[in-house]
Amino acid sequence: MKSKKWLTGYFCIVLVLLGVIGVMIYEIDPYFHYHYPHTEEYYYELSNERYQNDGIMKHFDYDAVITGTSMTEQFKTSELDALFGTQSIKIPYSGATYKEIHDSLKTALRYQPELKMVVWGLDMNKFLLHRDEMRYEPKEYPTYLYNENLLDDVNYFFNRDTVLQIGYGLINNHLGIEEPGMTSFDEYAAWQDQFSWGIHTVCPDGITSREQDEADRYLSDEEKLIIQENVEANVTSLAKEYPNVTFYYFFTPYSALWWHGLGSVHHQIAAEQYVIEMLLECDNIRLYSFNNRTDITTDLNHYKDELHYAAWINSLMLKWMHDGEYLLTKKNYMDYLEKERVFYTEFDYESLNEQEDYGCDYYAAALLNQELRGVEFLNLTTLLKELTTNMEMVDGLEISVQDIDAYQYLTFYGRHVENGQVLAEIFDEQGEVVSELVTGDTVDENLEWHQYLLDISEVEGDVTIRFNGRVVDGEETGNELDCADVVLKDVFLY
Amino acid sequence: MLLNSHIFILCFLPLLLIAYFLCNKINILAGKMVLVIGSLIFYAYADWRMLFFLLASMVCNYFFTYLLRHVRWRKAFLAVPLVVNVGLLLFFKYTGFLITNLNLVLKTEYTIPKLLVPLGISFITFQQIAYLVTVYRGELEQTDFIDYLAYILYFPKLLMGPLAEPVDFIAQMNDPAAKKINSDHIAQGLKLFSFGLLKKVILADTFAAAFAWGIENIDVLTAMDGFIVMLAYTFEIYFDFSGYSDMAIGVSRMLNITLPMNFDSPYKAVSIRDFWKRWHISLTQFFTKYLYIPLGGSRKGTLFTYLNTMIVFIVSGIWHGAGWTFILWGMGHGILSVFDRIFEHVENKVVRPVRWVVTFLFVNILWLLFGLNSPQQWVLMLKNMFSFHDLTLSPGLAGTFAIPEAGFISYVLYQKNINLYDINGLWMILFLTVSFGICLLTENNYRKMGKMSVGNMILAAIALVWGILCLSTNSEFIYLGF
Repeated sequence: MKSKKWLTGYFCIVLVLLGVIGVMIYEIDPYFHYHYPHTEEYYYELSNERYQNDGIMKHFDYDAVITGTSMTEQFKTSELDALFGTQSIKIPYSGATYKEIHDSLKTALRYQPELKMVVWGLDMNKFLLHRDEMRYEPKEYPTYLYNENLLDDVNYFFNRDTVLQIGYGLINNHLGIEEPGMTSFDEYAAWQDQFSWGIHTVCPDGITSREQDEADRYLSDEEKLIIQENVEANVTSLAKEYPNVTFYYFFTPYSALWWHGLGSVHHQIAAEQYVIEMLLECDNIRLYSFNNRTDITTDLNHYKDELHYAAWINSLMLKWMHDGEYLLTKKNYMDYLEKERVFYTEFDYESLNEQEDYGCDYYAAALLNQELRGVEFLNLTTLLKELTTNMEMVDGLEISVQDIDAYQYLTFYGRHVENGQVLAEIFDEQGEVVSELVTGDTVDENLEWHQYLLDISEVEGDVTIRFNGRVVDGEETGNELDCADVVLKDVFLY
Repeated sequence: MLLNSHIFILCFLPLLLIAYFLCNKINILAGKMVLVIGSLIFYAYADWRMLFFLLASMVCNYFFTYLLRHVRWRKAFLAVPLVVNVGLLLFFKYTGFLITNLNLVLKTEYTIPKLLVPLGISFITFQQIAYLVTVYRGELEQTDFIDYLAYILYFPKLLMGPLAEPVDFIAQMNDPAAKKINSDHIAQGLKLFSFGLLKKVILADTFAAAFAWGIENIDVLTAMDGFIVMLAYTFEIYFDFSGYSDMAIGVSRMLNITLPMNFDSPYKAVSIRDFWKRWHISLTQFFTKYLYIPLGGSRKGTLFTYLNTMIVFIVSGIWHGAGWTFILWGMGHGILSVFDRIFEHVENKVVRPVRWVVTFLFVNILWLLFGLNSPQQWVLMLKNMFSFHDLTLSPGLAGTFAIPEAGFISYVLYQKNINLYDINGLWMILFLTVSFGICLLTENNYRKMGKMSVGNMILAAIALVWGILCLSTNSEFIYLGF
């Protein structure tokens, strides 16, 4: 073959392939680098914080931002918007330093003049980081997506992973696996169901005593300088530069075990005090701390490790921020700190070894639902017990509940006596099953009680709940064994 | 700058080619200046501070070549720069190694200085030596400074070779017939470059991931894992180095300068001596010409032949890296080469497939030593492998071969009810099969450089595009425990 023909063919193929790829990247733009996503044509999965957040900030319409580390990944923008009447986005960065969040917020504030509210979870273990510290090495960030330099966009256009991501999207669209649209910000980066919760997960080897350094109560001058530079450069500077924006800052409520692992609680609180005093100097900063909600920080059923709390804690925090609860002010912060100091220095951490690890992780959420939504729980146990006794039913109980909308969870304990399934079904007014819980056939030789939970947040209206077991009161172990495969107790709607 | 980078492929190379051929129309010197300036930009792109070393080294060396031509005591004026060049190489590359061992033996605690090691110093040093010796021997008719700069700095070979002979290189550069665009050479160069790029980014990088997995999990490897990890390194180092060499030779070909062949299907070798005639050929030739023959080569009797062979391989080991693994690797190849010489007649009677298996096995075992962090690791791994205690394949190792493209293909086929996910090691087998095929069945890319067809045009174009896409991937922000 003549080399000139070879070259012509070669360049044609190369240019066509690169051209098609380039046009596709620009058109679909999976990281929103050039435009708002074409959600009417393609499905966009929000899944890559450090690649997508910058584009979200630059090309989406919003007036509120939720940001921070993984401590903020489980926030639901829909809840924020319902409480504050905003149109918010969520742009978390797992493991981010204050510097990284600051740089990101600067972009949002620059590109979105309408921005009026920022919610930022300030991790308490990052007070003492250097003001310029980043989570990763600079070369690991896709800086070509952050800057205005068109030349380095070649890394976006001709990028194996981006091209394949588009390929997956097109295949899924073609096969109807995904309809055009986008991951909701409520779901974006959330990880609630990927983990187990409770003491067996947080501290499987148990909690042992640790010595606290009682003498280490003060910050050195060098530490003060580091904190001052970090907070001034990355946190308060934004508030000063944008006085019309309200910054809702909060200290991320780590579990009591985090406090237990500190070398000195006093030293941590000295750092916290220093930070608080700097933040309270800005009128447009509303600073919250929930650390004295020790009923939560000591209940490991709300945690997957020493630091990370469950999604319902995020929901509660939004409510508290809206209601102005646990707001720190110049008047109350010293009392707050003293209360915090006393609790975390004197708490008997080893007592947590006895804590129940709920069989259903969401049971912890159910117990907090009254505080979150203001709905008093409904105890169905007595009523069901009466039905059991009066009707002598052995294979099913039914109870009607009017207007179930307010409740989120149905919980109960059950135990298998004979081979059989624990079954709970909820029927709507037309007799259709709208929610159900079924367990496998099991004979529990130890006759232990198991916890069950049914998420009924989507169920509405008047319903009938049907159980296939007999309901007893308390620890009764009498003749119920003779007439039921499954025995239930403590039936609640939360 | 690397040959396998967006900036090089999409910007530097096209601009340099245009500038080179345009300036050649003005005169040869202008063309050569383009090569020199382009090479300086190429070198300084990663870290401009390294230019100081490079420029200082070149000025000093050229000063001595001037003295070599114009002053008496020529041997002294050759010895001084040779010692300085080798001394600088030892200083930059081996200070840490020497201090570590000194501390170990003398139980001292000298701190290791942090040095900015100039890129490509090993290759640059050898090119300087080649130039000095060639001038000393009077083999170069003229020693023009720009020619000297262009020879040392020539960007395609600057960082990783191939090592070029000054006489041949400078003659090509000054050949008036080679100053115009040659479409044959452009096509051949692009073909070589495209396939070299794909070798690097798909084959070498995938095997590199498998080997890295092996090192990370060295304590829990099964015997089967050990063999796969060993093979992975054997293919990684070949595809990485030969891929880069192909790219360098391809780029140079476009500039009408033919760099020497560096790899000639080395894994087809049927003896260790045969292997070294095929592997990193330009280095073998350098050592032969500038070390083995000056030492006496095979002219001083059998014993000295063996001794000289051992010296060459130990020096080669030291040149490859600062560590006992490299020195032992060199010694291993030296011993096997001597063994080859002693038993050459016996070996020749053995059928080729057996010779190939034995050679390939020894090459593999020694590459493993080359790639690991310590001789202890090597012994541990070999013991584990040859105990054959567990012949299962770890899913983690198999998973390193499931490149993103493999994941995509599996996904698409899964939608068509073809399930590849359940076949453990499928992609590993595919990679190994393709690699063995390329190494053992196909003709060497360099040798078939001139063969142009519709098939290789399409494949080369796809290889380039695929290679370009692989130059940019997304970082995985794995934040364990958040």
